[in-house]
Amino acid sequence: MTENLLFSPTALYFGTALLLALGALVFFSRAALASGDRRSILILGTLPAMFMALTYVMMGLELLTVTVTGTGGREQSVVRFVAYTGVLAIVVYVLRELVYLSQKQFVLLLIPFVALPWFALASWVTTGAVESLMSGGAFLSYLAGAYLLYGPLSKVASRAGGERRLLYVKVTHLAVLCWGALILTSALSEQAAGMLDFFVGQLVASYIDLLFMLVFAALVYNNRDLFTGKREQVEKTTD
Amino acid sequence: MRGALSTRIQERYSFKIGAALAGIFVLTLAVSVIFGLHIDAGPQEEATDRGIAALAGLMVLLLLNLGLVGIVLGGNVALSLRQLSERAERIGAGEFDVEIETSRNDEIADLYGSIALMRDELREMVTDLEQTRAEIEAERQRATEAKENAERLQQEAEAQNQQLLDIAERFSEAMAHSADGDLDQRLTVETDDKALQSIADSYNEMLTELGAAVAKAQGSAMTIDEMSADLENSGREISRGSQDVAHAITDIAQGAEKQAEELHEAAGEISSLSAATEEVASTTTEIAKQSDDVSTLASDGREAASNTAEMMESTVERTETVVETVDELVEEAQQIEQVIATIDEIADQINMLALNANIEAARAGSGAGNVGDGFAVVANEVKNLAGEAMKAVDDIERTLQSVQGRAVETADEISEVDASIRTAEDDVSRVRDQLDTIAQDINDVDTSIQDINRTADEQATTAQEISTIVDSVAEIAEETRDQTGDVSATSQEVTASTETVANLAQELDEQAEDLSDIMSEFTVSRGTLATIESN
Repeated sequence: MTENLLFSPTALYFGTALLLALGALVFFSRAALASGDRRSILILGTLPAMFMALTYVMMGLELLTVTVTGTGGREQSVVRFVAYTGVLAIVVYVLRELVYLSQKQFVLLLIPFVALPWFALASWVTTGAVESLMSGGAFLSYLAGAYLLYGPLSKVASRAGGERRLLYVKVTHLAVLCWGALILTSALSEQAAGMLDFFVGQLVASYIDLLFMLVFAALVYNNRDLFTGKREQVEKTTD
Repeated sequence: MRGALSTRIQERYSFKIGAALAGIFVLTLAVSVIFGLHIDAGPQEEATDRGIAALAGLMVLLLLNLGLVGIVLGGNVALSLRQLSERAERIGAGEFDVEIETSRNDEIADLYGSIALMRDELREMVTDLEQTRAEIEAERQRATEAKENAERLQQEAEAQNQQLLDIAERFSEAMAHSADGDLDQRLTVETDDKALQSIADSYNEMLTELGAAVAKAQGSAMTIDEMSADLENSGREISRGSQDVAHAITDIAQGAEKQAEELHEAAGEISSLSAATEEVASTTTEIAKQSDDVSTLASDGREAASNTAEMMESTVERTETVVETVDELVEEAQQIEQVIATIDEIADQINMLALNANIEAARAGSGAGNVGDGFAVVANEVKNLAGEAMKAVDDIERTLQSVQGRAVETADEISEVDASIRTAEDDVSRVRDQLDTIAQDINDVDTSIQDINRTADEQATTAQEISTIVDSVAEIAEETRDQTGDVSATSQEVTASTETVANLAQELDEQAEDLSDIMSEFTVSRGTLATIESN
């Protein structure tokens, strides 16, 4: 397929990977200088950016590609969805550590966030009713995750204290906003509504990824002191 | 500049929002440029589709960015306001010690400060109100109590007023009796009023004291009467005694004057003694100096005697040597005498020989050319020589005998000189010993003179001090003389005063009799008198 693009897809992927890698490197270097109990959570905060940087490199190398339906046979790498799975799992884990979610609450929240990218991928490679079903599944997963975050788990977070609850709310807002933007972008993409072409869609997706990963890392870094307390102490003080 | 701008943005919430929106605008503009380039990079027939895609993409990004701003800024503000709201509710519930602090420094921080200020003012106001309410309640309680006290006091005052009237009437009766001279009257008050009881007690005590005073005054009046008589007699005796004292003081004054004159003379004598002592001290100083000179001379003489003794010992040794030499000379002269005797014998023999020669010459005959003649001549010559030799030997012998005699005399004289020198040496030794004794004695004398000198100095100083003391005593004697004059005048005045006292005592006696008459008008019980006497 021949297109007149401002940047080639490879350059777009590598450029995004470069920015993500630089951001991850900055936060990782700062995480490495932190004290013991904070270092692990700070490094955990930089892992999404690292995963996505690696993902974009692999996408630039056109590894693990599938043919996306409705795009005239465009090949898309499935590595992005693998990375999204890891990224969302890390985000959910950080929320668990932040407001001390129970194991059950953690698994319950992890399911929609893990299912969401794979429903999106499935919608890319299917057609017709299945595609609609997969798209609906992705949207429902998004709604389910948002419900859990703003509903029952928010009450759990309110017991964790002001600063922790504030960070929980910010991460929740960030995740819901960025995933909403990604779903919206996906809905407007050339393989769905067809309002966005490949270049604009990919640029917007890259921007969303950059924003999500780096803001998440920044939020974790700026609130690193919140991750030093013990679960028992916090539960005792919030009873 | 950058730090100041950052601080300025942090201090104003509106600036934060403005800065965030400006960032979004710049970002959107940059993406718009990229999208514009993307539209321009495509073929003309795709421009519309690319434009729609760019607009849709920009909308998505714009929504995303605005949402992000809302998350970051709105979340912080919402949390801060929620926390502030919770604390304000706690303040409203009366929990005024709630902490209101924030790490922000924008308008919300000002709002925190305002709420904190409001909390403090509310706490102060509530505290003031509670205090005012407590004060009002206390005042109201006090007013009620005061009203009750006033009513109770009014009733008590009325009762006390009546009681006072009764007591005053009894006081008046008792005082009237006391005014008539009956000091045995006492007040009896049956009341709980301590003041009235105190007045009654004081009045009774006053009467007791007054009775005691009157009794004492009566006793004193009699005593004064007796004493004034004694005083009059004593005054007369004192007058006479003071006259005797005046005479005695006059005698003392004369004695003091004479004493002062004699002390002046004694001071002069002591001054002369001091001068003489000073002269003695000066003389002893000169004697001490002369004794030092004599001691020095004695030491020199002792040294000269020692030298003379040594020289005499040397002379004795030399005279002994001369005596030995003279003895040896006598011995040698005796030996010469033996030689001379030998020479004399030889001369005799030569003379005999010459005689024989003459005899032989005579035998040999005389005449010219005759051997006998020549021989006779030689014999004669030998005989002459022998005669001269014998003569010379005689001269030598005489001379030698003379020398020998003189040597003996010399030896004897030298022996005598030696003996004289030995005697002189002994004398010189005795002189040296005596000089030693003299030097020692002179040193002792010098020490004694030094002691005398110091003693004389001390005597001079003491005499000077005595002179000063005598002068002071003389001055005191003069002052005594002057003062005895004053005392004499004073004693005369005392004499006059005692006469006046005697007159006054007479008047006092009359007054005491009057006082005794007055005091007899007061009646004092025997118990009071017993109390006074016991005191």
